[in-house]
Amino acid sequence: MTPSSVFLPALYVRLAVARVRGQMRYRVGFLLMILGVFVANAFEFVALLVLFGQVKVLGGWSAHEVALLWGMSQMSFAIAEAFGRGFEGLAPQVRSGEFDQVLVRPLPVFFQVFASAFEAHRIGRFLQGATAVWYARSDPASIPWQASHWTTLIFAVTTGAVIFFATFVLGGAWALRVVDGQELMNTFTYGGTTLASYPLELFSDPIRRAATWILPLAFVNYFPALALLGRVGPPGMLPFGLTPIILAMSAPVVAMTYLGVAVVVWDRSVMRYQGTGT
Amino acid sequence: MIAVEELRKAFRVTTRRTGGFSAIRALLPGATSYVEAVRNVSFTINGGEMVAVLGPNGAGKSTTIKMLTGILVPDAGTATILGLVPWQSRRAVAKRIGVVFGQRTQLWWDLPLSDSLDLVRHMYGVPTQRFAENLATCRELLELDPFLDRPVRQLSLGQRMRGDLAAALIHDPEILFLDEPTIGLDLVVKARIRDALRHLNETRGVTVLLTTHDLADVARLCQRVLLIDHGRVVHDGGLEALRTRFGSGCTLVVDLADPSTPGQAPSAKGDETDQRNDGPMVVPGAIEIRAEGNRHWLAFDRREVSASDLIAAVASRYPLSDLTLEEPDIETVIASLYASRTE
Repeated sequence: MTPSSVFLPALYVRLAVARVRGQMRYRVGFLLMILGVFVANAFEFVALLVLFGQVKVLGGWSAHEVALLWGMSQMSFAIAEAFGRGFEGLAPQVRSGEFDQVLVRPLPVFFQVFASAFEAHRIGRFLQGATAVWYARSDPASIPWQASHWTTLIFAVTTGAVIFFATFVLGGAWALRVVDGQELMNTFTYGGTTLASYPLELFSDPIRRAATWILPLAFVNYFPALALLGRVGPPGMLPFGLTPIILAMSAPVVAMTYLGVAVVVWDRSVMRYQGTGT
Repeated sequence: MIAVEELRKAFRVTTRRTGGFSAIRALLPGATSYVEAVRNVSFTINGGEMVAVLGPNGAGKSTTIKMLTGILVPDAGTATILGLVPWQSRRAVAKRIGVVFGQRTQLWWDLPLSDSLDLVRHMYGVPTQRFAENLATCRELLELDPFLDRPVRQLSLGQRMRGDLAAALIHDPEILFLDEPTIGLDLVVKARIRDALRHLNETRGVTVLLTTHDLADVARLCQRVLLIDHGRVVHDGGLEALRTRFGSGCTLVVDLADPSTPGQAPSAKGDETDQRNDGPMVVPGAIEIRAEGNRHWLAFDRREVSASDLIAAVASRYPLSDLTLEEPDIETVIASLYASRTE
């Protein structure tokens, strides 16, 4: 008998629900996990505020403006972590041989790794990011926050999540090739959020270029935040002299292109894995 | 059903740099060498057969299974599973085969077994009615009921293995690939799993290919054995044929009527502790490997001297009171085969 075909989006939801249900069996543990993620990130935010107790501006950005930047990157990263954890946690599975299990199922490998983890407790980080944005909103001197601003924000956070997610996919591809490469990959994923938490003016030119052209972190929140705040950006620093608004609007294209590249690299890495067995 | 021809697979091994700055130098390309895991494997398996793949660790069993299930692509050679090339039609083959790796689980750690089986059902798109029937069969065959609603993390190894086997059967596979399905299990669970496999083979005609280190698995299940060593098939046939071919070393146990060995002075009052002063028995074609009181163990190779000739030779030289011929059991044969490869 031939099994009926499988509808992948429905299967994803089913697997994600099952995973959350599994975690919810230990309800207190699950809530503590959310709290833990929230508190851990709160410390980072508090550190930021302490810093602004000493200085009025950082690279020309006020505390409220940096809070917006920080909040946006946290929310994007939280979404990417919730959905991309399967790629991020791949290294131990490759090492133990559990990854082989994926290859004996009649489903696309990318889908299976994507669907292998959904981490609802990352909402802790998302809420922390939202708190920072709420704090940024309290600044009367900044944005008027009309509907268009909120739309831009939501759009930017989603785009940023795609960019971080694609970075996780690249990390997974890396894990298929280099068994002990987890540390190096963390530099790009977690290091990336840290970098994206501060105005790019603070960093040297090579880092700024890398964050624009190699790992497009600037498109996660920096360009959209410039556009939201109505800032023009530092003179001569924006690519091709484009305005922040145009850069912010091109972010989805950049994100999708980056994701496309990541998926191609992923597919090639799976093929290479099947060829070498690492 | 399964046709394998001259399959080859080598792995590249990078030798780790040691010494000063090894952590940094590990990032640099090291000296690479190739290890041939599978050198030349060919065999054909017909539908409904149950075949055991035996061989020492590192002989190439698992690598062969990985190529047949589409996990790895070989360097050379061909293989077809149900008419398909597994590494080219991975998903189409996966729909029609079941795979269990004894050392790992495919179940969801946090979920009850029943939920895991339900998820597997959706991954394979098994229709509701068919799932209900297969689940009922598995529950009976593998006695899943006592732990069906328990999270997988709380299951014993034997329960987990039965759950894994059930998960591999939900989609009516035509071929089962089992990599050490009974490893670490107690006798009762082993028997339960063997019964289930034989039942599936007899009632549904499921073809089974399993690797194992447990010869009881082979004796109870498989009419045919593929012995793989150094990446090659060194034996393809029955378990008994394996003994005939590799187990030619036998032992003749003789009880002498007179405790003293001829040619030696009889020991004082036959005191047991003095027996070791006696020299070994001397018979052409055999070597004494052990002596205890009147009893002597003589090892010989059947290809060099027949048992009847040896007995005649012993009888002509020594007064006998009793004798028995010990054939090697299959475990000993395999163990000596495995031992010989370590040089």
